[in-house]
Amino acid sequence: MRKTAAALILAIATVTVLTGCIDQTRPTPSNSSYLPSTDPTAPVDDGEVTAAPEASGDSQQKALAAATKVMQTFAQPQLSADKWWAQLLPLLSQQGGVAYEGTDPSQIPVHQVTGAGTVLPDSTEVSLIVQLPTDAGLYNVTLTRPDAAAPWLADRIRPAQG
Amino acid sequence: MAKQGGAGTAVVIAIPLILVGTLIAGILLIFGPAQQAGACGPGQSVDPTQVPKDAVAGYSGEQLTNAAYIMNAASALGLDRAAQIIGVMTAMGESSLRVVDHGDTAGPDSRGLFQQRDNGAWGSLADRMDPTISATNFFKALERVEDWESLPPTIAAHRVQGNADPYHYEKFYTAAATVVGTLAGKGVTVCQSGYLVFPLNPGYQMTSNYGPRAFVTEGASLWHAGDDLQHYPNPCHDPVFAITDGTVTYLAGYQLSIKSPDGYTVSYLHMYLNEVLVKVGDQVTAGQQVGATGSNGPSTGCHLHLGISVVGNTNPAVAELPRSETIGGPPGFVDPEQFYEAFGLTLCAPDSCRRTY
Repeated sequence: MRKTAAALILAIATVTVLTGCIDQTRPTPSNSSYLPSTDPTAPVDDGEVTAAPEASGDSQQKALAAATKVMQTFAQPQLSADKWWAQLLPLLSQQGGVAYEGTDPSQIPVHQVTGAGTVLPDSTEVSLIVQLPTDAGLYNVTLTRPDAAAPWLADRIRPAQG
Repeated sequence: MAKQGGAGTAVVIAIPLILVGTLIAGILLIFGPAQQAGACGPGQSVDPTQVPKDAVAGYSGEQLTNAAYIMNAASALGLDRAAQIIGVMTAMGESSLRVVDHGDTAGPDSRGLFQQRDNGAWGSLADRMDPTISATNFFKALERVEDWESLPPTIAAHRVQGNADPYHYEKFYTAAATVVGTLAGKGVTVCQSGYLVFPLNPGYQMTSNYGPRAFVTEGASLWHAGDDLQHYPNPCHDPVFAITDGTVTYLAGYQLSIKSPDGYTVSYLHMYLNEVLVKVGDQVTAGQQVGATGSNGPSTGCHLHLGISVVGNTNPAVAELPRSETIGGPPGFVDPEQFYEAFGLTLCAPDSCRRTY
């Protein structure tokens, strides 16, 4: 048991050195903190979840521009379904394309974006949500991309009170 | 075609589920987003005059009678329970299961349970106001949707209804599954959630739960911001499935994180990175295998640590869950068991999941 605990502490120390990302707000665990449970099959862990790096300022600016374009394109209930889809589809991710196929644009209650968007907390370089004010209330546009060099594409375009 | 890739994966998941499901009576069956039609069970018919007197999932009286008519319309066409749930879910989202005799702003000519328009596609006014005829026309249109069985239920419904928001019906799924299961006398049968599945194949045990650790004996309390899950006795290399759709945002050390389109992030810990099947920037679908259980990082045995961070969340149901910092934990997490409960599912059900902590 003591060996296990010692190995665990070593592992934590190694991870801390390697990644430098252990939660500093938490006290350093002592050996006695790692008594295994009574079931010998039950592993003991000390999982620390690291937040993904935040999207850079440049990535966020590009996301705001992309989300605004998505919303302006989405908010055209006056267009025929074919014309609307031809404009929107290039701005959608693969999953967005599957989801929004068959949408009747005449049902869309939004006509225009009425202000600047905001990037919601926990943005990342490959996925984030932009919130935009519209004449039909706040909308969330979920954007995704395979890497920082690729354009932001929309997964979901939804009323914030969805 | 990511969707087709997803379908193949889900079939593989569904097979062991079916085997276990037949062995353990009453187990809650959860399938990936794209399991084969029929895996959910037949769409049995029910007597509309014998619906429960008490409310079911907040629906009662004529609403339950209308749900019975919808179920019977699917049954008459030979459709399965998954279709019945889609029908009831759609009518919940359109009319709260009432035969509405007026339209709305988006469609002033919409009528009935499914708010069908006066455009010739849905028959006469009398047809659109008739529960059985309107439901039959809904299901006939659903059958014409290509691959409807493999689409998330809300997307399948959207293809028929042509709403402005494809995700409008998502929040009604659990209630619809509860109503259909209860009316059929089967209890809650979530057969195809489309947006939330379990991270391991059924029959896993929970070796540590969320919250302050019970076995800390001295010093400051250690907080466990997730649940530990594993199969006994050989938990290594056990398939790990994405529990929701999302984009891979982090893969390093002993952690894989997938951010949902709703903003929250699910983290899968202790997998060996050479067994992880996805990379940062990949879009994954619920039920897709993303890796295998390991003992990478600070861990003494192979298992999955499942952690859910709600920083940046936009989902109203998830936003109502108590956050870890309000009960003495690190900031931003919720209890995975409460997260599943918010979607009508039980992560560690007494009849299928042993707790060993």
